[in-house]
This record gives sequence, C-alpha cells and structure tokens, in this order.
Amino acid sequence: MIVAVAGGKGGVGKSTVAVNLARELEAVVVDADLSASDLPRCDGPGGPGLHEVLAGRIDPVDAVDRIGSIRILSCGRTLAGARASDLSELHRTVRRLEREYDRVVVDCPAGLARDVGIALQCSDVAVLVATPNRPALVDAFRTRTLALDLETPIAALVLNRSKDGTGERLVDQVEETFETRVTVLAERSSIEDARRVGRPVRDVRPNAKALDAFERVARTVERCTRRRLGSYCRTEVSETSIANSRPSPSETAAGERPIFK
Amino acid sequence: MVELETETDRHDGVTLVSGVVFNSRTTAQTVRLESRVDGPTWLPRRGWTTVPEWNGDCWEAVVGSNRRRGFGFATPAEPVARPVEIVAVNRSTADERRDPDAVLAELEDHQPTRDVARPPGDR
Repeated sequence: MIVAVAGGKGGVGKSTVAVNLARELEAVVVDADLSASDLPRCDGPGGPGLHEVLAGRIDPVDAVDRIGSIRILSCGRTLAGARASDLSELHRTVRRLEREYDRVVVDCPAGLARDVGIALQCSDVAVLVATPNRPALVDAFRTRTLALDLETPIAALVLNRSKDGTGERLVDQVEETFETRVTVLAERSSIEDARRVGRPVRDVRPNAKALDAFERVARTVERCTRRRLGSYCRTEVSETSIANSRPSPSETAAGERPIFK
Repeated sequence: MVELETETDRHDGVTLVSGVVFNSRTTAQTVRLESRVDGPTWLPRRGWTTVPEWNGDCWEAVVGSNRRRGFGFATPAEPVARPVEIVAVNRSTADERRDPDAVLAELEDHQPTRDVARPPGDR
C-alpha cells in the first residue's frame, strides 16, 4: 500500500499528517520534497537520503532511518542533491520500500509541478491536507483534480488546524465538493509538541485526543486500499462514489438526506 | 476483453456496491452495466445532480484501451453475489479521458525553492 499525502499549498501540515499517518499505519514515510524537506533526520543533514537514492547511489532500504517508532526515508535540502535526483526513479523507490515494509506514506511537496505528479502517480491512494480557508481548499481541489487525472483515487481529506469549529462548519460543504471523507484535526498543543521534537503524537502524548483523528484517517485509507488491491489498485473513482451515494429526493421523506458513511 | 470486478459492503441497513471495469482490448469501448440487486439504486451525487454515467439502474461510460474505470452506488437491498452485470460492450471512437502519462508530461518541471537555491550563509 502506497499512500500519498498531498495538498497543493505549503504549510498546511502535510508532513505532520504524513508522520502521524505513517505511525498509525506502521508504514515507512518518504519525504518526497526534494528541495524543502520537512521530515526529521536522525543523522543530521549529511546522511544519505532520498537525493542519494534517486541519484542511484544507495538502495532505498539502506537509506531508511528509524526515528523513535517510525521509519523514515528523509531527504536533504541541498541544491546539488535536488539536481542530481532522477525523479523518474521515485516509482521504483517506493515500490521497493513497499516490498520491504508493506506500507509506505509519501509526503508530497507543495505545488502542482511534476514532482507532485510523479509522487501521486506512484501511489495507490492519496490523502489531501488543507487548512479550513479558501486558498488552501482551492489548492487542495487542484491537487485532487491532478490525482484523479493520474488515476489515483482520493481516500480522505484532513482539514487541519481547525480553530473554534471552523473546520467542523465546513465539513458538509467540503465533503460534497471533494467527494471524499473529511476528518477535522483541531489545533492542539499535543500536535505542536510532537512536531517540535520530530515525533508522531502517539509517541509523545499517547492519550492525546488528536490520535482519534489520525486513527480515523488510517482506517479510511485501509478501507479504500483494500478495495483496490490486486490488479485493480488504481481507478479514477475511489470509494467516494459510494460514500456520496444518497437516495434521490423521491426515495426519502421530505427533508431527509441521509449520507452513508 | 472487458472485465468487471465488484464488491459489496453493508452498513446500517445500506448496501454499498463498488466496482471497476477494465478494458484490455486495443480500442476504447462503451460499456453498459446494469444493477442486479433486488431493490432501488441510489446513485452517487455531485451536489444535487447524479453522476452522468448513471441512468436509472444502468451505468454507461467509455473505457479506454487498457484503462479502468470505477463506479459505485448504494441500495437498501441485501447484497447479492453479482450485484452488477455487463449488458453491452461496443467499440467507441471517443475516449474523453487523458492518458496519465500525457497529464504528467504537461506539468511544469519542479524548481528548488528560494531557500535551497540560496547559499546556506545567506538564509
């Protein structure tokens, strides 16, 4: 199972979601941001990472570090490393990691350039991350369009950094627009504490409320990928097409619009 | 050959049917499917409009050569072994969907951010 965590806009919390989703799925997380990597490294900036893997200098498995409870294939932040990287090797890299570790979470870069496209294309499903405001949601919607054009279904959307119920108020509208399940992640000190030390929330605050949301996203991803295993692992319509199924108005009592989730 | 794979899931008295049509032929095909569940077909919706591939109990769409296409619906009826069947397959000249490799080729090359392009001492 290969899961891309993407969102278009920078700074919405993709890496935070990627690390915590990887923890919940017991997956290896790949920092696919070749020039602005955000995931922690255990051996400082000089150790081998994705740059070296994509340049063909090291096997992906040998470049995986264990940081606390999760495995990470991190990435450098050097121009030379980014230039030496052959992005077309990303597909082979993540499949190699999938064979070794079974589950892989790919933390995608911001934007909609080819690096994002390749990361999305080599994933079985994508999880979108946005903050509850218009610019972030517009960028996330563009990412959704690209993912579907590349035949990678959207498993879920995380509305991150919700304050004072802003995320909750948008859930229905976002679910309808994006045709996917939405999980709201409220702004919490536990998430910030864990991020600051480069660890998943479960390792730092095992009783934190935020874990419910990460768990929910992980189970949704599992359900979505289970449907697509085998030769039909990729399609343009995820389980959203049925999650959004509703009886037509004539089949329900007036005013009732049940949503099946 | 056009192949069909379906799955059913029952939650809270509702059966969710999902599936994928795969066209291994060398030409695009218009594929027509029909629900075989013993009950109403609740169609996927976008806003207040049902998705255009569905019409009543039938789903019809063009599936490109060596491409797959997903579909789904809900019903209150109990799951059955074959909830959907292929009722017609006809060669099509229209395949409105772009090839994923063509989509990828149209994207801009990624550029390093200003931070990484700048020498470390200047950051």
